[in-house]
Amino acid sequence: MNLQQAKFEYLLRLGDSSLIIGHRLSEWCGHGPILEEDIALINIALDFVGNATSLLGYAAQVEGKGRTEDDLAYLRGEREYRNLLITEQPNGDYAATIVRQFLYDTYTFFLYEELKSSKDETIAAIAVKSHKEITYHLRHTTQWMLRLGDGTAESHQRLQTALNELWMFTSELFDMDEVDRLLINEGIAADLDKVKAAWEKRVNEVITEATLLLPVTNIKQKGSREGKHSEHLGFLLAEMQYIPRSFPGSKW
Amino acid sequence: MNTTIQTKEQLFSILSEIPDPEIPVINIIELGILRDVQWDGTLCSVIITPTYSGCPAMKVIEDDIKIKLKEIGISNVKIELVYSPAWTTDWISDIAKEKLRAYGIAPPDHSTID
Repeated sequence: MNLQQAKFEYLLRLGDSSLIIGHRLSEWCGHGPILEEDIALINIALDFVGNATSLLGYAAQVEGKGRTEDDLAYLRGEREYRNLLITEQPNGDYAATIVRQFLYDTYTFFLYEELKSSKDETIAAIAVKSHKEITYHLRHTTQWMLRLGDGTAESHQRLQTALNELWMFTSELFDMDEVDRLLINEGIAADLDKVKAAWEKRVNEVITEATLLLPVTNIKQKGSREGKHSEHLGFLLAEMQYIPRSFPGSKW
Repeated sequence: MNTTIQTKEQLFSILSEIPDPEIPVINIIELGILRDVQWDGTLCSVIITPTYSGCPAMKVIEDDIKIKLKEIGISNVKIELVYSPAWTTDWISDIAKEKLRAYGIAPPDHSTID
Protein backbone atom coordinates (compact mmCIF):
# COMPACT_ATOMS: atom_id res chain seq x y z
CA MET A 1 0.00 0.00 0.00
CA ASN A 2 1.38 3.39 -0.94
CA LEU A 3 0.78 6.74 0.70
CA GLN A 4 -1.91 7.80 -1.77
CA GLN A 5 -3.90 4.59 -1.27
CA ALA A 6 -3.59 4.89 2.50
CA LYS A 7 -4.75 8.49 2.44
CA PHE A 8 -7.74 7.66 0.26
CA GLU A 9 -8.72 4.85 2.61
CA TYR A 10 -8.26 7.05 5.69
CA LEU A 11 -10.38 9.85 4.22
CA LEU A 12 -13.13 7.35 3.37
CA ARG A 13 -13.17 6.14 6.97
CA LEU A 14 -13.49 9.66 8.33
CA GLY A 15 -15.91 10.85 5.65
CA ASP A 16 -18.13 7.77 5.67
CA SER A 17 -18.55 7.86 9.45
CA SER A 18 -19.64 11.51 9.26
CA LEU A 19 -21.99 10.89 6.37
CA ILE A 20 -23.69 7.87 7.93
CA ILE A 21 -24.15 9.32 11.40
CA GLY A 22 -25.32 12.56 9.78
CA HIS A 23 -27.88 10.70 7.72
CA ARG A 24 -29.04 8.72 10.77
CA LEU A 25 -29.49 11.87 12.75
CA SER A 26 -31.41 13.51 9.92
CA GLU A 27 -34.07 10.81 10.37
CA TRP A 28 -35.11 12.74 13.49
CA CYS A 29 -36.29 15.63 11.33
CA GLY A 30 -39.86 16.35 12.35
CA HIS A 31 -39.74 13.72 15.10
CA GLY A 32 -37.74 15.44 17.84
CA PRO A 33 -39.21 15.31 21.35
CA ILE A 34 -39.50 19.11 21.47
CA LEU A 35 -39.16 21.69 18.70
CA GLU A 36 -35.89 23.15 19.98
CA GLU A 37 -34.36 19.69 20.15
CA ASP A 38 -35.64 18.76 16.71
CA ILE A 39 -33.86 21.82 15.29
CA ALA A 40 -30.68 21.09 17.28
CA LEU A 41 -30.45 17.47 16.09
CA ILE A 42 -30.95 18.45 12.47
CA ASN A 43 -28.37 21.20 12.64
CA ILE A 44 -25.89 18.71 14.06
CA ALA A 45 -26.81 16.31 11.25
CA LEU A 46 -26.06 19.09 8.78
CA ASP A 47 -22.64 19.67 10.34
CA PHE A 48 -21.82 15.99 9.86
CA VAL A 49 -22.99 15.96 6.24
CA GLY A 50 -20.99 19.13 5.57
CA ASN A 51 -17.89 17.59 7.13
CA ALA A 52 -18.47 14.46 5.02
CA THR A 53 -18.76 16.58 1.87
CA SER A 54 -15.34 18.13 2.42
CA LEU A 55 -13.68 14.84 3.42
CA LEU A 56 -15.17 12.80 0.59
CA GLY A 57 -14.45 15.60 -1.88
CA TYR A 58 -10.83 15.50 -0.79
CA ALA A 59 -10.83 11.68 -0.94
CA ALA A 60 -12.02 11.83 -4.55
CA GLN A 61 -9.28 14.34 -5.33
CA VAL A 62 -6.62 12.13 -3.71
CA GLU A 63 -7.91 9.10 -5.62
CA GLY A 64 -7.56 11.03 -8.88
CA LYS A 65 -10.02 8.97 -10.92
CA GLY A 66 -12.42 11.78 -11.67
CA ARG A 67 -14.98 10.79 -9.07
CA THR A 68 -16.74 13.42 -6.95
CA GLU A 69 -17.96 13.42 -3.35
CA ASP A 70 -21.44 12.65 -4.68
CA ASP A 71 -20.16 9.60 -6.60
CA LEU A 72 -18.56 8.31 -3.43
CA ALA A 73 -21.63 8.96 -1.32
CA TYR A 74 -24.29 7.66 -3.67
CA LEU A 75 -22.68 5.05 -5.87
CA ARG A 76 -20.90 2.77 -3.44
CA GLY A 77 -22.46 -0.31 -1.90
CA GLU A 78 -22.31 -1.25 1.76
CA ARG A 79 -19.20 -3.44 1.40
CA GLU A 80 -17.35 -0.40 0.06
CA TYR A 81 -18.40 1.79 2.98
CA ARG A 82 -15.87 2.32 5.76
CA ASN A 83 -17.98 4.01 8.44
CA LEU A 84 -17.67 2.83 12.02
CA LEU A 85 -20.39 0.41 13.06
CA ILE A 86 -21.66 2.68 15.84
CA THR A 87 -22.56 5.37 13.30
CA GLU A 88 -25.04 3.17 11.44
CA GLN A 89 -26.91 1.92 14.51
CA PRO A 90 -30.61 2.82 14.42
CA ASN A 91 -31.87 5.85 16.31
CA GLY A 92 -33.99 3.73 18.67
CA ASP A 93 -35.62 5.87 21.36
CA TYR A 94 -34.33 9.32 22.21
CA ALA A 95 -32.03 7.88 24.88
CA ALA A 96 -30.37 5.53 22.38
CA THR A 97 -29.72 8.43 20.00
CA ILE A 98 -28.24 10.56 22.78
CA VAL A 99 -25.95 7.76 23.99
CA ARG A 100 -24.75 6.97 20.46
CA GLN A 101 -24.07 10.64 19.79
CA PHE A 102 -22.37 11.18 23.13
CA LEU A 103 -19.99 8.24 22.65
CA TYR A 104 -19.23 9.30 19.10
CA ASP A 105 -19.01 13.06 19.79
CA THR A 106 -16.51 12.43 22.58
CA TYR A 107 -14.52 10.35 20.09
CA THR A 108 -14.53 12.96 17.32
CA PHE A 109 -13.81 15.72 19.83
CA PHE A 110 -10.45 14.13 20.70
CA LEU A 111 -9.82 12.68 17.23
CA TYR A 112 -10.20 16.00 15.43
CA GLU A 113 -8.22 17.73 18.17
CA GLU A 114 -5.33 15.52 17.04
CA LEU A 115 -6.05 16.02 13.34
CA LYS A 116 -5.81 19.80 13.74
CA SER A 117 -2.04 19.34 13.72
CA SER A 118 -2.00 16.90 10.78
CA LYS A 119 0.83 17.54 8.33
CA ASP A 120 -1.70 17.24 5.53
CA GLU A 121 -2.89 20.85 5.20
CA THR A 122 -6.35 20.01 3.88
CA ILE A 123 -7.05 17.51 6.65
CA ALA A 124 -5.78 20.02 9.23
CA ALA A 125 -7.99 22.79 7.81
CA ILE A 126 -11.09 20.57 7.79
CA ALA A 127 -10.27 19.46 11.35
CA VAL A 128 -9.97 23.02 12.65
CA LYS A 129 -13.31 23.93 11.11
CA SER A 130 -15.05 20.76 12.30
CA HIS A 131 -13.61 20.85 15.80
CA LYS A 132 -15.36 24.14 16.48
CA GLU A 133 -18.65 22.47 15.55
CA ILE A 134 -17.90 19.23 17.41
CA THR A 135 -17.29 21.26 20.56
CA TYR A 136 -20.94 22.33 20.42
CA HIS A 137 -22.13 18.78 19.60
CA LEU A 138 -20.36 17.35 22.62
CA ARG A 139 -21.64 20.08 24.90
CA HIS A 140 -25.18 19.34 23.72
CA THR A 141 -25.06 15.56 24.14
CA THR A 142 -23.22 15.76 27.46
CA GLN A 143 -25.97 17.96 28.86
CA TRP A 144 -28.59 15.43 27.78
CA MET A 145 -26.58 12.53 29.25
CA LEU A 146 -26.60 14.29 32.62
CA ARG A 147 -30.23 15.36 32.42
CA LEU A 148 -31.58 11.97 31.40
CA GLY A 149 -29.17 9.86 33.44
CA ASP A 150 -29.80 11.83 36.60
CA GLY A 151 -33.47 12.43 35.70
CA THR A 152 -36.48 10.22 36.32
CA ALA A 153 -36.34 6.48 36.99
CA GLU A 154 -37.52 5.85 33.45
CA SER A 155 -35.07 8.20 31.72
CA HIS A 156 -32.26 6.72 33.81
CA GLN A 157 -33.26 3.18 32.88
CA ARG A 158 -33.56 3.97 29.18
CA LEU A 159 -30.17 5.62 29.12
CA GLN A 160 -28.52 2.73 30.94
CA THR A 161 -30.12 0.21 28.55
CA ALA A 162 -28.87 2.16 25.53
CA LEU A 163 -25.40 2.41 27.01
CA ASN A 164 -25.29 -1.34 27.64
CA GLU A 165 -26.43 -2.10 24.09
CA LEU A 166 -24.08 0.29 22.29
CA TRP A 167 -20.97 -0.42 24.35
CA MET A 168 -19.88 -3.37 22.19
CA PHE A 169 -19.36 -0.97 19.28
CA THR A 170 -16.91 1.30 21.11
CA SER A 171 -13.72 -0.76 20.98
CA GLU A 172 -13.71 -0.52 17.17
CA LEU A 173 -13.29 3.25 17.41
CA PHE A 174 -9.68 2.79 18.43
CA ASP A 175 -8.55 -0.03 16.17
CA MET A 176 -5.53 0.77 14.06
CA ASP A 177 -4.14 -1.05 11.06
CA GLU A 178 -1.59 -0.61 8.28
CA VAL A 179 -3.35 2.51 6.97
CA ASP A 180 -3.17 4.25 10.34
CA ARG A 181 0.41 3.26 11.01
CA LEU A 182 1.62 4.40 7.61
CA LEU A 183 -0.08 7.77 7.98
CA ILE A 184 0.92 8.23 11.62
CA ASN A 185 4.53 7.82 10.52
CA GLU A 186 3.96 10.63 8.04
CA GLY A 187 2.37 12.84 10.68
CA ILE A 188 -0.95 12.80 8.82
CA ALA A 189 -3.24 10.55 10.87
CA ALA A 190 -4.19 10.60 14.56
CA ASP A 191 -2.71 8.13 17.02
CA LEU A 192 -5.86 6.43 18.30
CA ASP A 193 -4.14 5.20 21.46
CA LYS A 194 -3.92 8.82 22.53
CA VAL A 195 -7.52 9.44 21.54
CA LYS A 196 -8.59 6.34 23.46
CA ALA A 197 -7.01 7.47 26.74
CA ALA A 198 -8.71 10.87 26.55
CA TRP A 199 -12.04 9.30 25.46
CA GLU A 200 -12.09 6.79 28.32
CA LYS A 201 -11.39 9.46 30.89
CA ARG A 202 -14.09 11.81 29.65
CA VAL A 203 -16.71 9.09 29.12
CA ASN A 204 -16.08 7.70 32.61
CA GLU A 205 -16.48 11.15 34.15
CA VAL A 206 -19.78 11.87 32.42
CA ILE A 207 -21.20 8.40 33.06
CA THR A 208 -20.38 8.72 36.74
CA GLU A 209 -21.86 12.21 37.00
CA ALA A 210 -24.98 11.00 35.19
CA THR A 211 -25.32 8.31 37.92
CA LEU A 212 -24.99 5.57 35.29
CA LEU A 213 -22.89 2.42 35.41
CA LEU A 214 -20.05 1.66 33.04
CA PRO A 215 -21.10 -1.42 31.04
CA VAL A 216 -19.09 -4.58 31.48
CA THR A 217 -18.85 -6.71 28.36
CA ASN A 218 -16.25 -8.62 26.44
CA ILE A 219 -18.22 -8.49 23.21
CA LYS A 220 -16.48 -6.39 20.60
CA GLN A 221 -18.16 -5.73 17.28
CA LYS A 222 -15.75 -4.93 14.47
CA GLY A 223 -15.55 -5.10 10.73
CA SER A 224 -16.08 -1.65 9.20
CA ARG A 225 -12.46 -1.42 8.07
CA GLU A 226 -13.10 -4.38 5.77
CA GLY A 227 -16.55 -3.20 4.79
CA LYS A 228 -18.30 -5.70 7.06
CA HIS A 229 -21.31 -3.97 8.50
CA SER A 230 -24.32 -4.65 10.68
CA GLU A 231 -27.60 -5.42 8.93
CA HIS A 232 -28.69 -1.80 9.33
CA LEU A 233 -26.38 -0.11 6.82
CA GLY A 234 -27.96 -1.66 3.73
CA PHE A 235 -31.38 -0.24 4.59
CA LEU A 236 -29.90 3.17 5.30
CA LEU A 237 -28.07 3.25 1.96
CA ALA A 238 -31.14 2.01 0.10
CA GLU A 239 -33.02 5.05 1.32
CA MET A 240 -30.17 7.55 1.05
CA GLN A 241 -29.14 6.46 -2.45
CA TYR A 242 -32.60 5.90 -3.90
CA ILE A 243 -32.86 9.01 -6.10
CA PRO A 244 -29.35 8.94 -7.65
CA ARG A 245 -29.67 5.17 -8.22
CA SER A 246 -33.12 5.46 -9.80
CA PHE A 247 -32.27 8.43 -12.01
CA PRO A 248 -28.57 8.01 -12.81
CA GLY A 249 -26.79 11.21 -13.74
CA SER A 250 -29.86 13.42 -13.61
CA LYS A 251 -29.30 17.08 -12.95
CA TRP A 252 -31.63 19.84 -11.85
CA MET B 1 -18.90 44.99 -21.43
CA ASN B 2 -16.07 46.27 -19.34
CA THR B 3 -13.05 44.00 -19.37
CA THR B 4 -10.54 46.64 -18.36
CA ILE B 5 -8.31 46.01 -15.39
CA GLN B 6 -10.28 45.59 -12.20
CA THR B 7 -8.61 46.41 -8.93
CA LYS B 8 -9.27 44.39 -5.81
CA GLU B 9 -11.23 47.32 -4.38
CA GLN B 10 -13.43 47.53 -7.47
CA LEU B 11 -14.08 43.80 -7.41
CA PHE B 12 -14.93 43.82 -3.71
CA SER B 13 -17.26 46.71 -4.32
CA ILE B 14 -19.05 44.85 -7.13
CA LEU B 15 -19.32 41.62 -5.15
CA SER B 16 -20.64 43.52 -2.12
CA GLU B 17 -23.89 43.70 -4.07
CA ILE B 18 -24.42 39.98 -3.44
CA PRO B 19 -26.65 39.36 -0.42
CA ASP B 20 -26.40 36.35 1.83
CA PRO B 21 -29.07 33.99 0.42
CA GLU B 22 -30.52 33.29 3.86
CA ILE B 23 -30.17 36.72 5.48
CA PRO B 24 -30.62 39.13 2.57
CA VAL B 25 -30.07 42.29 4.65
CA ILE B 26 -26.30 41.68 4.76
CA ASN B 27 -23.89 40.94 1.95
CA ILE B 28 -21.27 38.22 1.61
CA ILE B 29 -18.42 40.60 2.47
CA GLU B 30 -20.05 41.92 5.63
CA LEU B 31 -20.67 38.34 6.72
CA GLY B 32 -17.03 37.43 6.16
CA ILE B 33 -17.69 34.75 3.53
CA LEU B 34 -15.77 36.42 0.69
CA ARG B 35 -12.11 36.23 1.70
CA ASP B 36 -10.29 37.37 -1.43
CA VAL B 37 -10.71 38.17 -5.10
CA GLN B 38 -8.06 38.80 -7.74
CA TRP B 39 -8.16 39.54 -11.46
CA ASP B 40 -4.95 38.86 -13.40
CA GLY B 41 -6.30 39.97 -16.76
CA THR B 42 -7.47 36.55 -17.86
CA LEU B 43 -8.61 34.73 -14.73
CA CYS B 44 -10.59 35.90 -11.73
CA SER B 45 -9.71 33.95 -8.58
CA VAL B 46 -12.21 34.09 -5.76
CA ILE B 47 -11.74 32.64 -2.30
CA ILE B 48 -14.75 31.97 -0.09
CA THR B 49 -15.22 30.19 3.23
CA PRO B 50 -18.39 28.68 4.71
CA THR B 51 -19.79 29.94 8.00
CA TYR B 52 -20.31 26.30 8.99
CA SER B 53 -19.32 23.02 7.28
CA GLY B 54 -22.79 22.06 6.14
CA CYS B 55 -23.89 25.47 4.89
CA PRO B 56 -26.30 24.67 2.03
CA ALA B 57 -26.03 28.24 0.67
CA MET B 58 -22.46 27.88 -0.61
CA LYS B 59 -23.45 26.66 -4.07
CA VAL B 60 -25.94 29.50 -4.43
CA ILE B 61 -23.26 31.98 -3.38
CA GLU B 62 -20.83 30.53 -5.94
CA ASP B 63 -23.46 30.89 -8.66
CA ASP B 64 -24.26 34.46 -7.56
CA ILE B 65 -20.57 35.39 -7.75
CA LYS B 66 -20.27 33.96 -11.26
CA ILE B 67 -23.39 35.81 -12.42
CA LYS B 68 -22.20 39.09 -10.89
CA LEU B 69 -18.74 38.82 -12.47
CA LYS B 70 -20.25 37.92 -15.81
CA GLU B 71 -22.22 41.18 -15.69
CA ILE B 72 -18.91 43.09 -15.85
CA GLY B 73 -17.54 40.84 -18.58
CA ILE B 74 -15.54 38.38 -16.52
CA SER B 75 -16.51 34.80 -17.29
CA ASN B 76 -13.26 32.98 -16.57
CA VAL B 77 -13.74 32.51 -12.84
CA LYS B 78 -12.17 30.09 -10.40
CA ILE B 79 -13.87 29.87 -7.03
CA GLU B 80 -12.00 28.16 -4.26
CA LEU B 81 -13.70 27.04 -1.04
CA VAL B 82 -11.27 27.17 1.87
CA TYR B 83 -11.73 25.99 5.46
CA SER B 84 -8.71 27.66 6.97
CA PRO B 85 -8.66 30.03 8.71
CA ALA B 86 -12.04 28.87 10.00
CA TRP B 87 -14.87 31.39 9.94
CA THR B 88 -15.76 33.04 13.20
CA THR B 89 -18.60 35.38 14.16
CA ASP B 90 -15.84 37.92 14.89
CA TRP B 91 -15.64 38.46 11.13
CA ILE B 92 -19.14 39.91 10.98
CA SER B 93 -18.56 43.66 10.61
CA ASP B 94 -20.05 46.10 13.11
CA ILE B 95 -22.26 47.58 10.41
CA ALA B 96 -23.52 44.09 9.60
CA LYS B 97 -24.23 43.41 13.26
CA GLU B 98 -26.43 46.49 13.38
CA LYS B 99 -28.23 45.36 10.23
CA LEU B 100 -28.79 41.93 11.78
CA ARG B 101 -30.18 43.54 14.91
CA ALA B 102 -32.58 45.67 12.85
CA TYR B 103 -33.61 42.51 10.96
CA GLY B 104 -34.50 40.78 14.22
CA ILE B 105 -31.44 38.56 14.67
CA ALA B 106 -29.40 39.06 17.84
CA PRO B 107 -25.77 39.28 16.72
CA PRO B 108 -23.08 37.67 18.91
CA ASP B 109 -20.83 40.13 20.76
CA HIS B 110 -17.87 37.81 20.42
CA SER B 111 -17.26 34.17 19.54
CA THR B 112 -17.79 31.74 22.40
CA ILE B 113 -15.77 28.69 21.37
CA ASP B 114 -12.41 30.29 20.55
